[in-house]
Amino acid sequence: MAEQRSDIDIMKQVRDGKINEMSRLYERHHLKLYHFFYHIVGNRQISEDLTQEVFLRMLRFRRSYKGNAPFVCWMFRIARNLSFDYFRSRRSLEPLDDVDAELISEEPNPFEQMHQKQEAQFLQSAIAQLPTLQREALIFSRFEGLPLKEIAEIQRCPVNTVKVRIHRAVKELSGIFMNMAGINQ
Amino acid sequence: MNACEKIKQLMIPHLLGETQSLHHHQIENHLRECPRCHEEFTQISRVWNKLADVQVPAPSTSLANSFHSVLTQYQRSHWEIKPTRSLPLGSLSSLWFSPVWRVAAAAVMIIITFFSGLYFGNAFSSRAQLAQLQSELDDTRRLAIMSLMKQSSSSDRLQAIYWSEQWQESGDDMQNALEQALRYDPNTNVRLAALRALQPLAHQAQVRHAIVTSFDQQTSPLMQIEIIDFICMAEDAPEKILLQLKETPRLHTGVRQHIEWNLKNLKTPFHSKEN
Repeated sequence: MAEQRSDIDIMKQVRDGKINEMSRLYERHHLKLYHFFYHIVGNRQISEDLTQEVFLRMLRFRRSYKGNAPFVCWMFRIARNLSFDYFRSRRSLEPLDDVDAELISEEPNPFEQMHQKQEAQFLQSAIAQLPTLQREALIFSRFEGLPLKEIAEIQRCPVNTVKVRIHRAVKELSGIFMNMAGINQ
Repeated sequence: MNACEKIKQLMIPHLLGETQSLHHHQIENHLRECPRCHEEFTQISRVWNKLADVQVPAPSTSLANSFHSVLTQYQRSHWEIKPTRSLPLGSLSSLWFSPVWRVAAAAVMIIITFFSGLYFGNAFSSRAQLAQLQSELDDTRRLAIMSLMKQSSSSDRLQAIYWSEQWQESGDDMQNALEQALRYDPNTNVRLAALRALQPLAHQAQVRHAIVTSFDQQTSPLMQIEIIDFICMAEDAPEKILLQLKETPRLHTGVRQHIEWNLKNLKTPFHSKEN
């Protein structure tokens, strides 16, 4: 039978001392977090480390969890703080070349797939060049599938600001992508 | 706001299917009539759809194993931090004569005496007596920790904080001792350990207040940065506090930059220009 309890209920149990319940939240959300970090930092190992650190921080701050907003908002707020810390310590983006090599080497591809993958690599690199807040809003919306209202909650800003950020991100992405791919606009 | 600007604001919700039907028709009609908006929407849609091709490699299987082992370790000890020192490597006799081991030995003796009495005497059958003994045991443990916290050796004080973390029912006096350590302990590692030990109590406004107000007393920029991170994590409205802290006289440049960085990423006014 499928798990019926909401994330909020489970997290409240964790807060009240049932630490083991955190593994349920891990099962539900670790991939979302991992994908978020991967789109942000572009490196598998670092994304895994950061994903694990989010769960540790949730444990450490469990008693301050109130449960008055969607759980994912709280979770991603922790995640973005971690990503800020990461970039603050590095001051630059991970080179995405490693990622590209990783993606290509996984399996041999026919020409169409290669072309499609190359475009995807251009896009991934273009995403990394976006301003932080735009990049975050785009990732939350396009890859994590979060509603605009929840993104606004995570970024602590009005919904309209999120709309503008995503709009600008996509437009900018389009320009960067076309430049990288050598397409004249 | 002219019609084109209004439609541009609705393009992303339209792509996400988050527009009401009224807006839906409005957008569709406008896109038919306005070639510039139509061009922009086509361009946005094209990139939006292409983003589906961006792949992420699967995480390694060690991620789950690593998480579960950390969770188990956390459950066993409830520790929030790793002890920042290793055990002293002196002789066994010097270990035995250190205050840590003397207090530990005293606690073990009390526990053995308690259970021996239970086993042999059969005299402590009533729950009231058991509760009283438990309470006495707690008092002894509390005294032992409080005594360790007053030791001149910073290792002993770290050990006391480590024990206090493992103890769920810390009580007001323990909390006060941690707050005192956070403010006045001369050793940065002890202050840092006290901060970490107080973090699980961050749901209490008075603990948050104590941590925030200890900022001025910190001589180490590292501690100030740690407190700033705490504020960003635990406070509902961190911006206001960060702005106040930014005004602290003679603030270290790195700390000021850290505050500014956090303010930049937290504070996102409606009409602000994107970073």
